[in-house]
Amino acid sequence: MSAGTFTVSLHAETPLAIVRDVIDQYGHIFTFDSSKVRAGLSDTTMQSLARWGGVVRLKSGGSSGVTVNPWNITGANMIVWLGDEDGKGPLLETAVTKAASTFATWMGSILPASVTSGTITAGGTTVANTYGGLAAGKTPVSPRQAIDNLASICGFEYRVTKSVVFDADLVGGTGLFKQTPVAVVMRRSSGRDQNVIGISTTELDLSVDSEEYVTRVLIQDAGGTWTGASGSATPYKDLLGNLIVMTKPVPSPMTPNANAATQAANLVAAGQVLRNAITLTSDEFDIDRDIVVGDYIYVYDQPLNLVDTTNPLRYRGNILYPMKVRVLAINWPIERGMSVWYRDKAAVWTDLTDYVEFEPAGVTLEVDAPTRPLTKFVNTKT
Amino acid sequence: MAFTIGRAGKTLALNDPSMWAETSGGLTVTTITTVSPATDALRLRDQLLGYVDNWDEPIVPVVCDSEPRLTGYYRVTGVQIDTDPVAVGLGIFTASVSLERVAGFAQPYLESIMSGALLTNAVGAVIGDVVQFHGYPGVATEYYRGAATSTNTRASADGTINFNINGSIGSTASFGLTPANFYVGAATIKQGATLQPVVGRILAQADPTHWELSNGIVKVTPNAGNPGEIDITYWTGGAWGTAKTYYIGVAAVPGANALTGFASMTILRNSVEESIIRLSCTYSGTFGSFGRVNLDIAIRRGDRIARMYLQLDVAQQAVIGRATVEAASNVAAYGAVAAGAGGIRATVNDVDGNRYVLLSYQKATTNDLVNGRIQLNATSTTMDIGIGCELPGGAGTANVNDPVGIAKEYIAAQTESQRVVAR
Repeated sequence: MSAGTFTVSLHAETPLAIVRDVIDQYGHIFTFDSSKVRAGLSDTTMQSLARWGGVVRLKSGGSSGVTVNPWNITGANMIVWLGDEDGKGPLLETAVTKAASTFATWMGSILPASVTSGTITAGGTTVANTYGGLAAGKTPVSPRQAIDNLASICGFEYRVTKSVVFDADLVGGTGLFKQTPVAVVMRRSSGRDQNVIGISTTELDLSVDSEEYVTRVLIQDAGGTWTGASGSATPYKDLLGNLIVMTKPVPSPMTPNANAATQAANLVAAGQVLRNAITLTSDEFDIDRDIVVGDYIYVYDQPLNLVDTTNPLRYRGNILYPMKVRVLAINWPIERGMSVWYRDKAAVWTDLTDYVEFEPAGVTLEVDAPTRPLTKFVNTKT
Repeated sequence: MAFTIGRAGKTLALNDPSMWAETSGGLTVTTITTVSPATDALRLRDQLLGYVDNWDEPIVPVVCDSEPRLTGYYRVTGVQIDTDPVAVGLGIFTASVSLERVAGFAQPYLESIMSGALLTNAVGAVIGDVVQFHGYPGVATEYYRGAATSTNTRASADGTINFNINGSIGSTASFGLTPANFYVGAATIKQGATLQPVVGRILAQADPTHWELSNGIVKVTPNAGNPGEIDITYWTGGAWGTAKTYYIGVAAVPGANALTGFASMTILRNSVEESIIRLSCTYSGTFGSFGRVNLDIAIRRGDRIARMYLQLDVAQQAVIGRATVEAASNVAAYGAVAAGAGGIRATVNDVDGNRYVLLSYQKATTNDLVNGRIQLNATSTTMDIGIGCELPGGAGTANVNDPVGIAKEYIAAQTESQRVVAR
């Protein structure tokens, strides 16, 4: 899961008492899908009612001549409490060592105090390793770096919710994301059937690339040894008629030798598909009601050959054959009809809705073939 | 002299253009039209307006008999209609329609992209049992769909429809078709006390009691005397046959726990290749007592089956049957499908010399051959229904017009999109 970005623009006329004195770094922004949230609700209730939440990391404003510019409050989603993109965070300065343990067991020792442990699927591949530490030969890594390594080995994926709850499940499990889509995206049709939600698109772009296609993966483990795993036979050939060889080397200094083969197998399975990057634009309101990053959705478009005849779907009186794809990123606007609140470090909530510069409708989704794991998902809010 | 823009002008006449102005990248045609009564003028106006942002008919034929050089295929980019209240009251309006010629213009190539698979079913049918098809106007030229063209045809109220069952279920077809014949066999939705074609989806009126869904081969309308019941009739070669009435309910007895009316009609698709409507239903007794009951009806160009899909919020043991008792026998076995599994057909010919075929394949069902009904074996929130016709009764062409052929066509779950392509 990636941190993504968000930006909330506030009117230039926003009182300084708000933008200068209240909004501060590492405070939190929450959005709600109603235009007015009743005042006086508890901190827990506010978090549960919110549609989305993120961490403030940048505050900017200024002027151009006599014109005062809007204030921009920018940040990232709650995953940064596990460690940010630069590897900063509550580093594991004290080494965490375990004998062969499951992903869930490891989380008990790695998750920092800044997040709450939620639902973590038990069982699965075990890993014996050491993460973090300050002794010679050790590297103090962030919890997020350690978790990403364990997830890659054990075949897990995870999320940090708007209430900083950490949940994790096996890839393909139903605990975190919708594996069976409830939404279908297609041109020329939308509307809610009794069991299927149609998301209308205003723009639908497809690009198919093999830039990340691999036939084999080599993992360099913590001891420096390379271990490889090959995928199934490739259908592609070079100019001389040889089957192509696309081997990717992956240095992974946190991976113990005993788990390198498993990790290599996981990576080659994920990398042996063409990347169908589909970009959809929709004017759906508050799309997080129906689709979140990580969910599977159906996409259907006959001219673009976004068709899977093994996937019949009854929708709007017809039988469609949509492709099942995974949402990797959503870029959605703060539209009029939503509300925005700021929560400070003392859990005091401030309503910013009246000062927000609302944005026009227009959601962009980036979706991909279903075997892409959640190693680079982004939930971007602008 | 006819002047039509798509379906507009085909039944309510448009006057010949008073101006045809070319601009860079497009043109604008203006017509000052008088229609009587004034209410029909408004309906003709809606037909023109319906082509704005019309996803179902992005390309339309424009036929101008007074100046044949202008006849061709266009894309509608805008419609402006002056509706002076006094003029409208007299049935007069001025319409300016912005058009773009498409590649090929007067004689482009049309391409039908089809996707499909075996209908998920509970009767044991497999892909090898499927009779997939592509229906297109018999006057089309340069037809190509891979394998040799089949010679099956079906008569329709608009003219002959070719019924190609060769090729595979997802094979794309291409053909040439003159603008004047574009709507032969087209799936059409009509509305109003005097039925008129509806263009697009948005401008359908809130009138769930006066509508028609047809492709010139099969026609579906609401029963006028018994709200909630459906009339289905078939083109017999020279006229429409006598309509048969069907009901949907949860009890085997008509009128008990049955649909009692339609609260709304929504157009889900309105293309020449397929039209689909959704009826939200009211009901009596305990049938669907909680929640919504929706009935989707789809008709595809060339099809002799009205394909329906019932959805309920609360599972019921739904039944589809003849409102007037008409005895049936089981549809004969084919492939791995046992005789009567999900399908019945009339035992004797009707007054038109044909026999109804009633199908429901996706859930386990029980046939009532005495009355002509099919009922779900267990409660469900959905029921698929296909109502076709063996034509002529007892002597239908194998795989085309016989009951087994109708059943095999029913399990071809296809979707078709037609587009204009450059030659």
